[in-house]
Amino acid sequence: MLEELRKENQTLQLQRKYEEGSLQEEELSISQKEELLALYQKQIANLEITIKEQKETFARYKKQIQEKRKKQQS
Amino acid sequence: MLREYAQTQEEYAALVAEYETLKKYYDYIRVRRSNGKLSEELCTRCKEGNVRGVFGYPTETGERAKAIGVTEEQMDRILSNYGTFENFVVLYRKGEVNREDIELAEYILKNVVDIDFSPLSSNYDALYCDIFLIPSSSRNINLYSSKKLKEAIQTLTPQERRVIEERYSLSTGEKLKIGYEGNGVAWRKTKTLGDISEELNVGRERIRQIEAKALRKLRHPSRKMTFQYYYEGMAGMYCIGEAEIAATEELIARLYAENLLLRNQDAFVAASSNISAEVLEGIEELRYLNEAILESRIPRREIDYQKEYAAQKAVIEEDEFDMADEIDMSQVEDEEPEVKTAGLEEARKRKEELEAQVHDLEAKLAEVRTLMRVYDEILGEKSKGEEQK
Repeated sequence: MLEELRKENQTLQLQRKYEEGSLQEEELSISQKEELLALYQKQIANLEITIKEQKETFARYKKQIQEKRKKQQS
Repeated sequence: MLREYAQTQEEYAALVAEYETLKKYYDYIRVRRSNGKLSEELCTRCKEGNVRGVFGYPTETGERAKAIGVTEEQMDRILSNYGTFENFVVLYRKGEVNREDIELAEYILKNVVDIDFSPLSSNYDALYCDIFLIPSSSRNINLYSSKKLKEAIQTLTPQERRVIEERYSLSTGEKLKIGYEGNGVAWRKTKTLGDISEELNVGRERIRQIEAKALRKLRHPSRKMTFQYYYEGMAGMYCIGEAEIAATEELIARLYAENLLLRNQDAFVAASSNISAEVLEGIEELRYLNEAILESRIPRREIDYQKEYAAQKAVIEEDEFDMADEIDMSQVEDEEPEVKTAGLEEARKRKEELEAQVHDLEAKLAEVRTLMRVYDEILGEKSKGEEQK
């Protein structure tokens, strides 16, 4: 468990450096690239789920607002 | 000391150079640790340099006793009864020391560990013990973060915050010391209830009540989960797996194995080189893990609610409600195009796009919430007006 966490932490640090620009793509080893790509894919999947959930929440609010508006008009 | 190990002048010079390098690392590590910042790289360097062997604990009985905060007689007794100080600690943790030495062990050894290694750890330790009513006789190791505890104190009312800060000398920065009080060992607070009542111009009893209330508030699960590194309690409320609990237990087991956790702050710093780099790494990881969990936490009730909503949503038909006059819906309604993340650069861009989108959606949700509140208020006033009529 601790091993996995350590690895994850290292990959996050790598990502931070890469995004800051202090580390270029050419400087990364193949395994590092793979790890980073896997991390990005994981993050992208999470973000997509978040967006989906937010849209659902938005639709729910929309429905509620519609009801409230009808009430107000009546 | 180094001369004893060197046979020639060259060897001596080499040893001195090595000593200087190691001392530099050691000092650096000590400062970083006291600031709560310790990188993995430094832990490895410390481990590789075998710092504990050269700069570790004082070996002379007198020096050692002084560092720990006991008398030379007490240290002699420990050494004659148990051979080494380490044996004494191990046996105490197992509950196998003589009855008369138990109190001495309680006086010396910590049962509460601040994973941030703050300079005011002793004060926060005292506060933590009082919040969770941990007796000095408890042999279990409790982990907490003083940084998070400080943040939790900031959420109290100004009066409660002031009383807690004064009582545990958090604002003055004066370190609390351990001493014999009543029937056992306890932290010696520098300010009495009377001192604080004079400062705040309220009764002593009132100060006691405020303090008790503040401690009760800090004990509440919503606050304690932020600073208490105890996952069983958190797992009950949030979605935390068995793996995290196991990781914490493993770390605590390692801390037991390292067996040198001293109450005396200076001695703790001196002895902390006896805590291996693995444990320090474990502490770093635990901190990272805790932050990650707190950031991504989803209360169980929210999950139940989401399930309920998903079921309802299947029934509700899509309507043609147009909110264009209030909020621009065009971006929200668009379906996301599927983008394949072939390279790092594409993945990075995609992530940034999605993050921006999440940000926009959050802003829109905030607007909709405000709109709902406005409707609620209007409808509330309308119904009131009807009632009056």
